[in-house]
Amino acid sequence: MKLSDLKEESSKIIDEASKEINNVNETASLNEFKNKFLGKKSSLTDFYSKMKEVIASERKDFGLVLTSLRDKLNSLYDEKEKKLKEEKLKKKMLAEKVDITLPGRDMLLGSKHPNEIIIDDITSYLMSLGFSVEEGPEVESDLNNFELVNIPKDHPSRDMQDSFSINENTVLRSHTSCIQARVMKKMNGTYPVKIICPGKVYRRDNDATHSHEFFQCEGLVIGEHVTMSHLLETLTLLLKHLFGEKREVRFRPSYFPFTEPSIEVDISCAECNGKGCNLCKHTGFIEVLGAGMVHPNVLRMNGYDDKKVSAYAFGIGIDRVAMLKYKIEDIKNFYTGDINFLKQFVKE
Amino acid sequence: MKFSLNHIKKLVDLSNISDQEIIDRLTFSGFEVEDVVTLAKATNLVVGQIVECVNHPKSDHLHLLKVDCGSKYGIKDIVCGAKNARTGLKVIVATVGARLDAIDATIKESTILGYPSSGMCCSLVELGVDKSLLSEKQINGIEELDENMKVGSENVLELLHLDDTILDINVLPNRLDCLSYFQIARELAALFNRKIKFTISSDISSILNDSRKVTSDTELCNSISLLYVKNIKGLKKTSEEVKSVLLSSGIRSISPIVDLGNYIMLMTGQPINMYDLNKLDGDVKVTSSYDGKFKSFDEKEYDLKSGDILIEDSKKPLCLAGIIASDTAMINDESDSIAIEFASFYHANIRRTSKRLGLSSYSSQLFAKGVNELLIDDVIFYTISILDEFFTSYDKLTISKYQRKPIEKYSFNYSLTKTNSRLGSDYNTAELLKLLELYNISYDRLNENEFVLYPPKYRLDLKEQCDIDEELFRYYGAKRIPLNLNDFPISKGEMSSLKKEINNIRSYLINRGFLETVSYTLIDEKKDNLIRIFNDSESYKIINPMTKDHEIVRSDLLPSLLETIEYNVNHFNKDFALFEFSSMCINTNNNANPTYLSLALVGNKLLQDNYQSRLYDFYDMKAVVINILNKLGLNPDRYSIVSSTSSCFNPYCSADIMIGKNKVCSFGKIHPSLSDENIIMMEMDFSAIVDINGRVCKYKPVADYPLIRRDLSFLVNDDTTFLDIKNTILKTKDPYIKDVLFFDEFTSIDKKKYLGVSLYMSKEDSSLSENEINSSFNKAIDAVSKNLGLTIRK
Repeated sequence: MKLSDLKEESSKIIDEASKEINNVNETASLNEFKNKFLGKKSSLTDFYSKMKEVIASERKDFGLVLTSLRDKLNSLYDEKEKKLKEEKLKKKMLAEKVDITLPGRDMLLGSKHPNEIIIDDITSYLMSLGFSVEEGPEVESDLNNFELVNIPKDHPSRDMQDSFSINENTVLRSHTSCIQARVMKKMNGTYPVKIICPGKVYRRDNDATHSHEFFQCEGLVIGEHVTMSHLLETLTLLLKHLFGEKREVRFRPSYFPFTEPSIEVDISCAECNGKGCNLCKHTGFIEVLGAGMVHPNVLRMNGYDDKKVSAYAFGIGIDRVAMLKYKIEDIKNFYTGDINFLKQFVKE
Repeated sequence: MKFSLNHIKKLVDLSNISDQEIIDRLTFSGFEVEDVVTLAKATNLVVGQIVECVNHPKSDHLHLLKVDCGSKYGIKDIVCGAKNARTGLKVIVATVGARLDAIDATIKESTILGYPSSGMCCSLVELGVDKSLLSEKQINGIEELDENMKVGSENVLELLHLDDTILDINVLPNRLDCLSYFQIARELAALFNRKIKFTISSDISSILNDSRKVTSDTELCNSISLLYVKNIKGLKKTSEEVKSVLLSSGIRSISPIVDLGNYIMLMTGQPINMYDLNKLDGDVKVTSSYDGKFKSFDEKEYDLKSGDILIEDSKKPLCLAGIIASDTAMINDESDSIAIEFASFYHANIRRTSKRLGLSSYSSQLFAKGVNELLIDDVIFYTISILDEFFTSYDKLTISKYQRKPIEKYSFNYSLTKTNSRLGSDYNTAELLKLLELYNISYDRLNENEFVLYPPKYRLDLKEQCDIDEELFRYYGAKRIPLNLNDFPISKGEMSSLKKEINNIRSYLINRGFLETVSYTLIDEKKDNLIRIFNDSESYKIINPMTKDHEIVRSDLLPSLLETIEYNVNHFNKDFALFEFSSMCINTNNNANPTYLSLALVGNKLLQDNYQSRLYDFYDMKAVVINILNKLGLNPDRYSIVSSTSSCFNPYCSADIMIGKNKVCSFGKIHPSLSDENIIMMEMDFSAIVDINGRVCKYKPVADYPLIRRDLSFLVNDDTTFLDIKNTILKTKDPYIKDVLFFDEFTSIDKKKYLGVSLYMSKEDSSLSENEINSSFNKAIDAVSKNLGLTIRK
């Protein structure tokens, strides 16, 4: 066979193959194409078998032309094969097409009650300062709730809290301060004591900012050199943790039966940054907790030597902190369990 | 207590100190200034006199007035609607340009129904005075000024003592002395280092003793005196000044004698009572052992008991001490001789009696807080000093005094070193001595830092070391205390395993889509009786509830949970999951305080957004319950699941978890008599399960050879349980059958019920052959067929 003939044949085959490959659109016809142009009975195979008949001077070029023909046919085949594969995958993927704006199918996330969010926050922060978490019952003796925290029967300071009674000697605890008596009894004069006690308390009180049931967290530290300085620093750290570093913390002398001196603690209003607005009643500050140095009477009544040890205590209103933090106006929301309220705390 | 700032300033020199400084100093010295009210607020006022008053021709109630407003303003035409407008009356005129904030008005020249009006005659309401402080007449008409007022005077508010600021100070129980003008004035004198402008003595020795005897047969009254003012002539009108003090405290002026008593009480903090001397028979006695009826002046009868303090004369009860008088010796407008009572009663008894009878007044509240009997002679001295302001003349005063036990003065030791060590402060002796001087505390100095202190008799709150800590802290302020944690005790923060497990399960539930709720512990009695899970004992009952809805301390959580569910369903929230953890107070002998957990699945199983998949059912709840038990370390061999005995559930669709004989959990679909909604609830004695505590994860090597699964489907009847089939198969003790699990439940078109179970088989040392598998498989089928009579689905 002559080189010139081969060249002519080769270009014919390429024309034909190029035409035919266009009609291929499935694996079966692609295989037919392969058999026809690249298979054992193809012209290409036939030309190769004729190599030895070609005259020596043309043999090298003959070989080059053949290689070029083979490569061309292979590339037609490969391209088509790749394209078919891609089409097949695309079809498969199209079958899985979704509306990305439809909701996911997993369970909704639940949420923590806002009071628990605050309790957890206070607890984990103060545990890192070495405070332990204590608990006590909500039905409490008059002794623990009042007398052992320096509120004798018929004392005017009883007017400060109107409690619910179960009988003459039993009340629903009106503050978490009763835990002071319980812990001191348990510790039996030993120290240091560093505890907090979050929990529900009860008072005969009902309006937008007061509920007859609400949550408090008591803090108590007893030790050899526990000072007012420690108290003010602990509270400053805690309040800045809860409300942010930017909040200013302010202490006002006050009165509680179980502490002396006593303080009320205010933080600068987040709404107006201390300038004065409706939220803070134009004072620039909002009252958040009460605290003080534990009254020596309380230490003495509960088995501690007030000459050896001193103590501080504080009580923070959990609902109040949550109300300030999330700007919740009515405390009833905390207890009616409306899911549209509860769902809002999913991020915490 | 509400104080007139003007009146305070008459008692203590506060010149050149702004009102705001006074308020701030009080606020940062332990007094809560709760409210600051300007008594009246108006500009451009003048005293006028109506010189002509005729009816407006075009109106049935308006008058056309000519009002003489003095030389500066001249005579003004004013159209006025007040009924009490009449010729000759002196009135307050708001002239053109006047601003009246209370009614949000500025007075302008105007024409009313064709007649010009250039000004307005005012009532005190229009000047901003609170209605509660005014009489009906004052509220409904223009203010009728005293005829001595000078026409043309422009300082009207000042003349009426209305140019005042009222401070509402919340006096806390450590400073009850400050429920009086004298004491708040002394406090301000100390805080600003200023002089007080009054002198009070306790020297009443010059008053003659009366022949009438006054005694007390009870230690509940340690001190009582009667001051007799006889033959009173010429009751004077209560002065504007006294009136304004009463007004500031919300007390209305009634008559000079009554006003006198109230005024003394506000000034001194000592409530006083008065009797008509002509109606007293013989000696006066205080007793606390009277048992019988007492009729008050308003004809109401009260049963008195031993411990109530009664004042009586030789013939009749006079007064329930400190609380309410009888009409037997009441003063009235005709009384010309009176006896004024100054006494101290034991505060606790006044408190109890007043509470029991539901009788409370300003004076009973003062008595219930306790009056300072050391000051009684001072109060008598002060009373005598102001009698002339109320009465023109009276006979020489006499007195009957009774003192049961002598009153002791006291002193205590004080160390500044201890204060500094307790507060972390560095007060020096100069600062201490300044404080002692300002507060009139006398002392003996023992050494550099140690003292014996003698507080003044009006400061009963100063009794020991820590009271001076407080005085220093109050006076010098919190800013003097450095903030630090130097030498703060070091310890490890710990938490009970119960709290840890609560947090653990709380996270699990939140991740499973449950919303945490907190509900009221106090519930309605009916609801408490309706649902009982763990015990039937009577719940704690509040003896002084606020409402019937919140009267019982719940013994179970489900009543509250159901209420929360109902609230949501009524507010169109249909599909949700809730949980609540709560510490309980169960009324049993051992005062149990378990922690319970309650769960609810309501409506449809809700996926993200509003994506409803299907109705929640029993098995959804069971999965959560079993997962919780598993997480708490309770293996299935530790508990049994039985049909629930709790009446709040559908008995065919509920279960109890038992540990031994104790029920620790109850769950199921709500009984249809309680609700038609699809509600699955659960209550768990959470702390009881945590107490068992068996959580240890034991590792077993992972099997080398594969576990073979073969599925079977049995045609079952209604009474067959999965557990029956499982146990029957396991009882064959086939060496290769490792477990039998449920995979499906299915009812065919012809209403036949099939239960699908999977057999899991394996061999320790090699793969199972097909023969071995078939042999075990057939053994299982035979056992079920033989023992339960069930056939498999072909």
